[in-house]
Amino acid sequence: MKYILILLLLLVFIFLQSTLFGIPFVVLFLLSLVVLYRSEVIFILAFFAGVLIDMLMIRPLGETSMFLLVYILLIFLYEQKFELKTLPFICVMSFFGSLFYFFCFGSENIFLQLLLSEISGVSIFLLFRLFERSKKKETLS
Amino acid sequence: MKSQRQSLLSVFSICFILSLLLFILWQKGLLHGASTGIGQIVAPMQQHLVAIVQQSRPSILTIDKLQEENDRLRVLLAQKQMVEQENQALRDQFQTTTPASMNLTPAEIVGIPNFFPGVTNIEEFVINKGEQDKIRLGEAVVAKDMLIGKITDVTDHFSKVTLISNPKISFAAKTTGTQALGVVKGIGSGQFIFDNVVLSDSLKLRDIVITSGDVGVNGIGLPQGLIVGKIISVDKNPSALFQKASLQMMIDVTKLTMVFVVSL
Repeated sequence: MKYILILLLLLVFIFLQSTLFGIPFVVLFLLSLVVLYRSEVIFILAFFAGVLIDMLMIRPLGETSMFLLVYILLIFLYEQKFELKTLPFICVMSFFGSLFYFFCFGSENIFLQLLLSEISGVSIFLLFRLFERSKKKETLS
Repeated sequence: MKSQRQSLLSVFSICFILSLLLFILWQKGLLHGASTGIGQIVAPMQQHLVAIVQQSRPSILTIDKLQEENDRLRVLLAQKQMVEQENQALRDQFQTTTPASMNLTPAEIVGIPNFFPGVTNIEEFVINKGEQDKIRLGEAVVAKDMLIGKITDVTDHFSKVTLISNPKISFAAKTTGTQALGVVKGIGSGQFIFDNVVLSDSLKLRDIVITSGDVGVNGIGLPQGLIVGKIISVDKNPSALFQKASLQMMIDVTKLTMVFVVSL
């Protein structure tokens, strides 16, 4: 059930990011996944998500995948240095992730976009954490 | 811990190499048809989402309506002036030739990447016509006789349109009133300028700027006489080599759901 939900959410974010909004929802979504689940499967998700985004946005195939993969690898590398499941970490990583995304793929009004990305990143993370906690409570009871 | 890190790195390496391979194949032009299948599945949903967002924008105030009407009348006047000039030229040559007819391919906007209403301006969008519909790179995209942008990327069933306000776009143009020649350049944020106009030419406020035509021998390019925009401010410095003017598009791109690709 959890995996289906993650896949569905990922597809929705890919669709939104490639059709209308400039906010890199997929980057923020994958950030929350890495922080909460720390699984290598996220690399595979990032690869396919990147390819889908490239197809829908008519970008060279593989471009977004490479960006997402490197970004996720960086988060994993910081795993031993920082406590990942904290809001400050999410804020910093969603800021830099969005900034580099805008830098690599081009965007205007970056300041406002970064602010919106930050809010979206934190919201996605909090929603996921809430979901995880409620799941834990269910299993305990 | 070490084995987990090794497995992480190996999955990363495989995915990264695959991405790199896809990227290289795309650059060599071998995967340009890859987006066809998925694109066709998603296109109707994208179309609906774009239409919903365009319709949900706040209704136009009366002053905006008057402005729109005013602009439309200016366009009609510019078209009349163009016809008059064409007639004059034909009369001068004592012969009548039919102007090259244009084929218009209607296309629907299926995606507006990197656009956040109220935050960013539209710099490019994706339409549901591609190589199979005979769309070619560099062709002009219009809406209501007004130049919107150029085709900058084509796949089998989809194309990317870069707007004239994008800094990547520049082309030759002239004013209808004073026939001043110059270059239209996009400067981003939905703005574009009419630059490289010699000081001896005159630029007038609210004058209409049209394309001067840059169609190549292969029949691709911007045809002559497409309306680019109107002059909203003139920057003329006697010590400068050229004068320039700020232009405004006479159509609201954010409300468009359908455009036309011009093929000659």
